Amino acid sequence: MSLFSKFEALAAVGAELAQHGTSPVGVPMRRVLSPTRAEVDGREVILAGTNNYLGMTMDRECIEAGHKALEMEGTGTTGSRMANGTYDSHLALEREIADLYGMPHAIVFTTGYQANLGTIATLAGPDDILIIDADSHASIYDAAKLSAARVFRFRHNDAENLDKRLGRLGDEAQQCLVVVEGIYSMLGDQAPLGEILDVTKKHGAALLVDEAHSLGVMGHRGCGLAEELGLLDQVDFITGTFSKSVGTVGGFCVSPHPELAWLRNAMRAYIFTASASPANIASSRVALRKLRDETERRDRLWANARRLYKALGDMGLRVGPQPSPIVAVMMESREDTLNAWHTLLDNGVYVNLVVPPAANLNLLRCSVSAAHTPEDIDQIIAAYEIVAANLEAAREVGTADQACAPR
Amino acid sequence: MEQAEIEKQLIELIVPLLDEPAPIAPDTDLVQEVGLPSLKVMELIVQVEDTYDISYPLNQLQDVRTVKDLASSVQQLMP
Repeated sequence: MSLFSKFEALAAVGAELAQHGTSPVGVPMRRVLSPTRAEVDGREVILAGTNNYLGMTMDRECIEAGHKALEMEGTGTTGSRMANGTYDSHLALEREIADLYGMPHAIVFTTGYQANLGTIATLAGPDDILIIDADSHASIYDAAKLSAARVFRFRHNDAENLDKRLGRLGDEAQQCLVVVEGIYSMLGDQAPLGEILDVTKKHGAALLVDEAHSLGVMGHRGCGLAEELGLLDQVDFITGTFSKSVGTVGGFCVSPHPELAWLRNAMRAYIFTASASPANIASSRVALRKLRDETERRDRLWANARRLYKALGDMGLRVGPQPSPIVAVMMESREDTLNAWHTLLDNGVYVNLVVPPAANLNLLRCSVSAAHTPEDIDQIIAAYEIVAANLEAAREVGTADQACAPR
Repeated sequence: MEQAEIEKQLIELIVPLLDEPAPIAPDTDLVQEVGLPSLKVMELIVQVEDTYDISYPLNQLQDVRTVKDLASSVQQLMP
């Protein structure tokens, strides 16, 4: 028994994943060539698992803005937003996000993880109640752990189940914060936001929507699912990240409630950390403007997403419940998932491998980008065809084995 | 409902969640002795909520080690 004993099972999973050569966990990108290309394991591959939805990481204007800020303001702020870490550019970015959402106040965090940790754990205090969707991201679960509130979960995307939980609370429901996501990160499905809002309003609860995967992806201005459904003015809080469609690092919270400003001096995840570097903030500002204005990026993204989703579904692979820039294929076992991941890599396509305990499913998680060309999508589809054929062949062998087994 | 009755029902919910069959008694430590992984614990809680029509606070889970602990907290939450 030692401090390390409890990690033995996790280490065993890691070792198993590394058995066939390159491990999918923390695979080194030797050289990054473009938003959609990198050198992995000695070969150039198409990146189809990066969350780089709009291809913003290599945008010329974003890079130049970052360069300029780096030269003018240095490599880091070396301080908290509460002390010496608030530059004019941090404040400008906050105003621009508030304007984008048409809301009075925005707060920028150093990462998206901290945006959820700070906002959720602080809003829901000792006398409050937090109800989260069962498929919530780890940052929401961690916020729930950190919060002093009573925490309940409701069945994923099930407004009726949420209604039941809020109903059991009676008047206490008014002290409740409900948390959902715009697009869920594993299967790419969307929250039934209209139905969820009907329920939260009925019981007087507040609603927070994490638009991490839907920012830049949905809505005319790219604000996310709430904008797409015309519900922006009904949601109480929206959090998001810069690390996907914006192509940088950081997070934010916006709200129609001007009282959001009061949270600034109470959120530990905001106070006890250094603010984002000036280059990061400068690139994020340009990227957010482009995300709003360059709507053709969204059109290209969705054309790629719909095409890939349909092609994989047509092959008989088990895809998520609706088309999305996250195209996940559900697999039977860890071994199948690992083999398929290597097949894709051998055929020049990098996707994310997801196995328990990271999630409760075995998944090949692909995310497409506006920067993928139609030929890239062809190549991704061709690689998945090999995976589908291998699975089919294995199934036939399995059936034959069963037929031959002694009865 | 008697706590012993709840314990019996909980064991029926837990057994199908185990990777390898193991005998479960009211005093069995669910994590230490039978290694119920955290994702399975979450699935168990969903089933418990549906079975007893209660909302089970996740914060209460840290005090639960055995079937008996879980049964006792379920009983307190029942209307």
